[in-house]
Amino acid sequence: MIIYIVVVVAIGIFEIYRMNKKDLKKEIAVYISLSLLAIALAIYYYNSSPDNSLSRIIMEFFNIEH
Amino acid sequence: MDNKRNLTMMQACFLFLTVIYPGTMRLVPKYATESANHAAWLSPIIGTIPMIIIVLVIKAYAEKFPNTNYTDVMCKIVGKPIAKLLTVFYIVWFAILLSVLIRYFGERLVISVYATSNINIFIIIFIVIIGVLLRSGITVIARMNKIIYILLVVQFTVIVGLLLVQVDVKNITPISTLDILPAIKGSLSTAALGVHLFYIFMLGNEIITNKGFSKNMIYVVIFLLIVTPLLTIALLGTLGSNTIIMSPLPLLTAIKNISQEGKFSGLESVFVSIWILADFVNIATFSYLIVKLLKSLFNLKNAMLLLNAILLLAFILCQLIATEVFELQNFSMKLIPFVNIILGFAFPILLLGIAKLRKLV
Repeated sequence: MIIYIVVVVAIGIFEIYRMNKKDLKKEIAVYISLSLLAIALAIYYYNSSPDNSLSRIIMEFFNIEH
Repeated sequence: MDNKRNLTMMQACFLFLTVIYPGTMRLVPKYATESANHAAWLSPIIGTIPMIIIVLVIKAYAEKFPNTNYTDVMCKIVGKPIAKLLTVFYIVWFAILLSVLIRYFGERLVISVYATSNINIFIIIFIVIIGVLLRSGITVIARMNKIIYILLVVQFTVIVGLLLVQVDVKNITPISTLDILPAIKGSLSTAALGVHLFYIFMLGNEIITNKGFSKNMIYVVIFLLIVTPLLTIALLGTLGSNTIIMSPLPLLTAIKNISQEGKFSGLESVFVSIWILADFVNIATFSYLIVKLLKSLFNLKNAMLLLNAILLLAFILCQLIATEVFELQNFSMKLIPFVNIILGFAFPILLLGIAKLRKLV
């Protein structure tokens, strides 16, 4: 998990630096939001039980037998 | 319009055929067999009917809203707030599809060739390659796809040819009127793959649509009308319905059977490597669609800079999406076709109906 978060942050810093140079404020905001979502999902993934999955959650939400 | 940076009609159609190739191989025979058993080969024929409707819908959109992407079309029909909300739905759904595709790519390699390897190694390498190549835009992928498409056609011809000679007619007959309803039920997977044609045309202003552009799409539908039943006959005729239902990847099982006969040893490795190329185009196309939808949603100037964030998100989503391949398959068969039909078939028709009521078309 830590490696993944470090990679997300490192690539993020590089990309945001490039966007900032071009004065792309909106792009920076969207990039940060996507990166934060990725980190949040990574934390959830590594802390949840091994048999927990997104497909199971979605199918339970729609009441589909799985 | 800068034509060099846009897709020609032919490139868009080839892109569609490559995008649906992995799904067709993986899903259509299995889904149709589960519903219709020995009459499964009728399902893909029925499934092409909704595809014709999709072609007509795309034609209507392209004629009334030329050089406009789907989000802008939605804005004109239902207004900005609803259009933006629908765009969010599409982005979330494409992100889920992207994660499923990436996971399938890894699982296929692990199941078929590299049984003891860590799936994440393949996924990371693949994501990095897509991140580098897709930066130049979808036209680069579309040009590469022309070669990939030829390889896929050759591969398909060889495999189906080898399988067809072993077909046991008992596995695909008899057919009676009682098989019509199960065959219609089984056609959902073919129809759900057909909606990918609409997904590609969501790019709108990036596809050059000339006067007779719908003809190309009709050729594509005719091509699928021949190819998908042939594939189902080949698989059903050689493996039988029980093996298809039980196997996670029936086509791979059939190829392994051919390979084990001795004459064509190692065929599955060749098959998997060409299949990976189709996966590459498929994953690149969905990543690009997400980028473009984000661009329309937030009115961004340079959305391609978001590609890395999208791919990193897709990586963690593909870990989260399923615990093992059977769960992934369950999800692909029980939910994905329905949502695809809603987003790629029902919504566009509904919007077209609203546009007609509001006298916009």
